[in-house]
Amino acid sequence: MSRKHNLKVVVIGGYAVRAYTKTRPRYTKDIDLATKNEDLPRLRKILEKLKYAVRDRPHGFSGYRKVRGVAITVNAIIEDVKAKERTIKSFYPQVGLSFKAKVASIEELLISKTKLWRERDIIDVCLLILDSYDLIDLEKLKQRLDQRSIKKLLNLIGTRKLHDIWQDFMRRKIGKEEETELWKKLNQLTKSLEP
Amino acid sequence: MLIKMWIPEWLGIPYCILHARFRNKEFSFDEARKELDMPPSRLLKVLSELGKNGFLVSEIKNQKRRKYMLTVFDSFTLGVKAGKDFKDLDITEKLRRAFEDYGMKYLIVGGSAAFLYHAYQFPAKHSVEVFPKDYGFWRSLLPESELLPRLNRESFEERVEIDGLFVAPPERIITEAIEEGGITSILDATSLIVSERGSKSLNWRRLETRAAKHNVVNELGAILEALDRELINEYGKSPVPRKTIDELFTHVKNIGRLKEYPKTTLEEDKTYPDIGEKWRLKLNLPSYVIRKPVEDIAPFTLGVV
Repeated sequence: MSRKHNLKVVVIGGYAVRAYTKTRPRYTKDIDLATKNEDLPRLRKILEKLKYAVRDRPHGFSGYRKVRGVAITVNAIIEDVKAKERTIKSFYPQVGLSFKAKVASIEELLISKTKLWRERDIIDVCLLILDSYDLIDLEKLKQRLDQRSIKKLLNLIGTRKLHDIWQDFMRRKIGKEEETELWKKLNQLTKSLEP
Repeated sequence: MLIKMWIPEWLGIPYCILHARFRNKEFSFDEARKELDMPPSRLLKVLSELGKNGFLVSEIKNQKRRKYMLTVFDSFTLGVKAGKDFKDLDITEKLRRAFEDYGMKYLIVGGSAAFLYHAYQFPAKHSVEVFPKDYGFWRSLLPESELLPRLNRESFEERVEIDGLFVAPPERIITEAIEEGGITSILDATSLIVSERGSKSLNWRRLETRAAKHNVVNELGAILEALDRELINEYGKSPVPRKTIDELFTHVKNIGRLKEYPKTTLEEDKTYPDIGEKWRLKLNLPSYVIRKPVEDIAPFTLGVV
């Protein structure tokens, strides 16, 4: 859609995290998109053409449509997000559906999610670091990431709080090896980000 | 995928001895210990592994005494056959066919059941309640699912049929999710309440009764009130009946300290403090468990889009 209309639309949120991770937490089905301020009206028109009903929201708009009885919600926000083309896999492995799209870069995801610091975002940060640490451009991250948030996350490792949140979102306990690996990578990241 | 159906000797021999002695009768840890003559730590490991492999179920009975029972071996062998027959099917299709072809009853519960109503927050795995006697069958057929061998006739009779699948009723899913008190389970409850299918199948009276029975009246009342407030603010209408909230409030006792709810949140985000006070809760509800379903699901249900 963005290619056809020469529109810069970037997938953010759960589907973007999905493009970098193998592990599946409990994501919600809504599709989150980011676009530049000047492109927002065009994106709105395109969705309306695709029969989405649109409602204004404080940071953009939401589009609603039913496809074969299934409700689909698209949330669009104004934000200039750096993107990469990635393959997004289906949340259900048995569906086997995957597609290519412009997705927020892993650095953008780490920056925004550590800023938001909600339970869901912390799990996403853990998964991004566990599954795609090698894809992180440390120089890019260094410029914009608040290092305190990574230290805060490091302090959560091994705590009951992280274990409970992990259990809640993943529906399984965090493995000892998994937690150790996360701790090592976070330590590595903290050191790499030091000035 | 079939599980490793041929268990190792260190499990196989104790299984045979227990089978020869107890067959389908219940037994206690001490009885098993007497029969197998092994140290308690080793016996615990043996019983736990037999359970994981579908050969044993356990239940905490009167006076917190755990009782064990071997699963019916025939059901295990039937499960192996069904696993071969349904090899290429997905889990939901396996569930349908297990009932159609083998008469095996089950009930989808938890997050996967909630998803069948709200179609919003993906489940991490399928949680399925089965009759203890059929546990062997299901363990061989659905090795990746969370199988709960605690189904009883009463729970099965309460089932709702969705797309040919047997699912727990919405009132049960909501109360259990609220009782669990995790962020994702509360989001399951709020999403179900505002979803089209959920709100149509929900019996509010039954929900009140169940909430009282499970001792989650305060939590449910606060969540319904927060949802109702956000829906009215946003769309001027709400599917939550005022009389349900009022009825729940009659159960609230104005004594004792405020209860913290939910227990595990990352930071103390005191949301809806007035609602929390009213329902005798120190409410740390992340706002998105209320706002997200209101913004993403409710417009379809309320017909505002």
